[in-house]
Amino acid sequence: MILTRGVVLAGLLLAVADAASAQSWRVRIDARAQAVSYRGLSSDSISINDAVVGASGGFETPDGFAVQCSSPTWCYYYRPGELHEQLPMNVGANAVLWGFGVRGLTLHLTARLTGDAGDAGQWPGTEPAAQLIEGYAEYARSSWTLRGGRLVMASRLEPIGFDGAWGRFRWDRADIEVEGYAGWGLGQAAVVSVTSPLLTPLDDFRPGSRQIVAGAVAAWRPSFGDVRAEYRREVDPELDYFVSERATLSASARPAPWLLASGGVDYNIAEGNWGSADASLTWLRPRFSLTAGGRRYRPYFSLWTLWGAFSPVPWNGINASGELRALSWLSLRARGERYWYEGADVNTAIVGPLQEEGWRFGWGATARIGATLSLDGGYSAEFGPGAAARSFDAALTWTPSYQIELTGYGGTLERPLELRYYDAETRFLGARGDWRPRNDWRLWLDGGWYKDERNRPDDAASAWDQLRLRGGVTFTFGTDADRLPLPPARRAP
Amino acid sequence: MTARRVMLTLVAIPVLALGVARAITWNQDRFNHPKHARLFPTCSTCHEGASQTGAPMFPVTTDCAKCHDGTIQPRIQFEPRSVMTPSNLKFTHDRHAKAAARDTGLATRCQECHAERNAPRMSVQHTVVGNCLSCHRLPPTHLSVPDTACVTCHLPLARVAHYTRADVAGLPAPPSHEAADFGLGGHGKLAAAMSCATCHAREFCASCHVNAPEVAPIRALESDPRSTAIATTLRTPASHRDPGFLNTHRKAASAKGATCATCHTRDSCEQCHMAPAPSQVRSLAQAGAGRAPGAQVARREPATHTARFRENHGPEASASPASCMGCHVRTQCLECHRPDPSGTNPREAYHPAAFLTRHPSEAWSRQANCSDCHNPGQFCQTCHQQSGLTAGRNRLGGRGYHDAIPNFSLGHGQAARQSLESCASCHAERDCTACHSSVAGGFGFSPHGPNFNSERLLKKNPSLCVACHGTSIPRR
Repeated sequence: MILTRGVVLAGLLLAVADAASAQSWRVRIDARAQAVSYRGLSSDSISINDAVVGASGGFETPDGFAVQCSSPTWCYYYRPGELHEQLPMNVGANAVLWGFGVRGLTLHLTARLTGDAGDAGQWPGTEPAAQLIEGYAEYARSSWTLRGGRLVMASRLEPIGFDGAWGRFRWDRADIEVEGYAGWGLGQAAVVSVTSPLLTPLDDFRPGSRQIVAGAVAAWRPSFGDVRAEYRREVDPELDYFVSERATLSASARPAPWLLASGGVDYNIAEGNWGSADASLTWLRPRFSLTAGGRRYRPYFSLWTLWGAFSPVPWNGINASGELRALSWLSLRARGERYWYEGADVNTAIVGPLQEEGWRFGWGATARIGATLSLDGGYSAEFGPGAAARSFDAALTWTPSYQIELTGYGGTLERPLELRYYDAETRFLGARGDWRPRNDWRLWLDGGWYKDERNRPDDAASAWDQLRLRGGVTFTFGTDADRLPLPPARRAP
Repeated sequence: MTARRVMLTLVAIPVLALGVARAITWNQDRFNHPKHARLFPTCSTCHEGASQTGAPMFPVTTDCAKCHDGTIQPRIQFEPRSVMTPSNLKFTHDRHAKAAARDTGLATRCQECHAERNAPRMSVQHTVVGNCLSCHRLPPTHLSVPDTACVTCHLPLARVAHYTRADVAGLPAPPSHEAADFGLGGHGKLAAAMSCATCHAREFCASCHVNAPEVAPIRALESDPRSTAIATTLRTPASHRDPGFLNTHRKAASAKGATCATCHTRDSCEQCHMAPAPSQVRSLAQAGAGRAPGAQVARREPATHTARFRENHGPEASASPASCMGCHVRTQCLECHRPDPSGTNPREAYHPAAFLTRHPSEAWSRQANCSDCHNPGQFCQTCHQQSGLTAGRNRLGGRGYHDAIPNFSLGHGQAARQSLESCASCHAERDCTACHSSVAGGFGFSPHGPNFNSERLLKKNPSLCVACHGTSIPRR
């Protein structure tokens, strides 16, 4: 279906292009592939009579796997799974065409052909093989703009894709913008509709028809900032029930050139609760910047699922980050966030309470060594409910010219999981190169060796070493493609 | 001692003689006016052209020889000039005399221009500039006259054919040109008065003004490649040094009377602004032949784009999407928000290296909202399923994944409410409704929290309630 529409759209584009004069266009082609292997898990069970008490006091299989005996007769556990090797590949095209003799008319297309040549099913996102991400015609005048086709509406309420129309009117004298959009929606962060089995791999409930999306935006853009309010609803046309109804307010202000304030908040009208929110204040100086703020995260589920009825609780957090150009060749950075969940109002005597709060923090530095070398290193850590991680990364980059960049990188990562025997340590070492033989050509290659050691008290402490390879090539061409380099600049004293 | 004096005398006399001869010759190159002061009653005796159109300005050798005939006076080797000393004055003696007579009713005397006030008769100079300024009621110092007044006396550079590039480079700059704002706009007001042409020509202006072909005062100037001998450079306006300028320049560029076109070509702006560029950019001239390169812009990130901006850009991008679109095309947003399954160039990737390995901790507490970019079903569930992380369908059990906590299934409530999205990355809804549903054999354990707004949900989408409660939906 998508392929058919893509062909029709391409035909329309070509028809219009043939009829037009003085057409300008720009096309970018990206071809990428990566080879990755992973060893998952394999579910297994033994009779409860065969389970033995291990050294840690819990039940194990005779060969040392921790088991959970959750039925009167069987105990369950996971063995290390098969080693899977996958090779997802992708060819993407992005095209912009303008200059049809109709001032303000442009055509935009972003599409992909993708697939997986590996041995373990399809890598996530490689189906369908032909994907139309965006394809629309835009007609823009000085004060208003119209778009029609497949669109992705960027928003605080998650970017949503739909097949429909979008329009914006800008009243410059009052610094006001209003927008409206409507169409048949796509799945959340997907290029297929909610009716596609691709979005329900667990064979869960699947809607019978696409939702109708409609929204309106009002924005005020005075010289000192922006305020933007949006209302969006998604309705199931089959039942005429709401799938989602939300509103959001975003604001950004620059009361002084060195001060930036931004924030926003969502409200879930359908469920009657406040969603995610954030606010931050950034102090910008030429040699340093400091940001402090707070945020709140509440998961959002559409009303096509039951998950919202399970009353997920939000977490609230405060954070700060900063950057300092300590020396002309050295810049430092640091960040930290403390967060805590609101009360879950759940307790059982069988399982003790979990953590309710956590920390994230990190720091790093970038040093420029001469004109062509830079060294970057950083440490980050996260301690909280459910999972934790500590990592150190470093990269040495050599940029002998604008055309070439070579980087060697490495790091180490520890990642204990609270709900599972799964302390693991990963070390990785790799190199990547980026070559631009011309301004409109680009090739890159990345290869990394990953050594993973799982620190478990059982036989699942298996190694998971692997080599990952990635590569890509980008071509940009067209009537207006990359006129770089321009003549040399005249330097002001 | 005597011999030494003789030797010195023999050397000194020829040197002294040579010097005297040289001095006589020098004096004869420049006519000694004061020496002849009592001889000539009027200047026009020799400089007939000064008062009579078409007459020669300088005498000829035979005129001098009338006295310097070897009898009355010794003969001399003197060759009077036949042409006037080249200058960039637009002065002619006859027209000036007529104009002076017309304006003042007085005949102009030569010494009014060629001698200092109260100087002895015929103590003349080439031109006493101060006298010119005085008569023309201009400030007494040459370079302090208003820039609009140069044209009073001087020819446009392009008509001063004898000037070399070195001459042009050596032209003195008026003090007005030293003013702080002169280069960045102050000179524009003066340009209309055309005095610039005294020292400058079109090529000079065009070396900075990329819109020179469109600016009337520049177009009105004559062409003269020698004008670029005066070196000039583009200066960055103070407003551009503001760290926030990249974020705020839209207003300035949109304002009436914006002067961006002076230094920036369309190509300059398109270093950052992606095609199709904003209308303000499209209105600028294209770089090319006949235009200077102008201000060259190196694409650089605004001050707001700190190292953490990639992770924290959401609020700013949500509030000011138009600002983002100044430099970014939608494709760049889609690179992450609709990610390529085969991976992104690591230089530009959102996630750090080894993220596949490290993602559990970030995903659990949602450091970033995964579903801004990934569909939970297509991305998370598919991958977990292929990795063998399929959830158990047996009640009160599971398959033992959460093996660090005995009987986790019986006490999973807090974990579920804290990170329900993580649960949903492996579990289907029916895994939960097996116990939590009130129908189809479920145990009816309520999953609703204390703030659950059942009435509102019932109103918005009753099918949600029916899924677990059937037709017996409790009201509270």
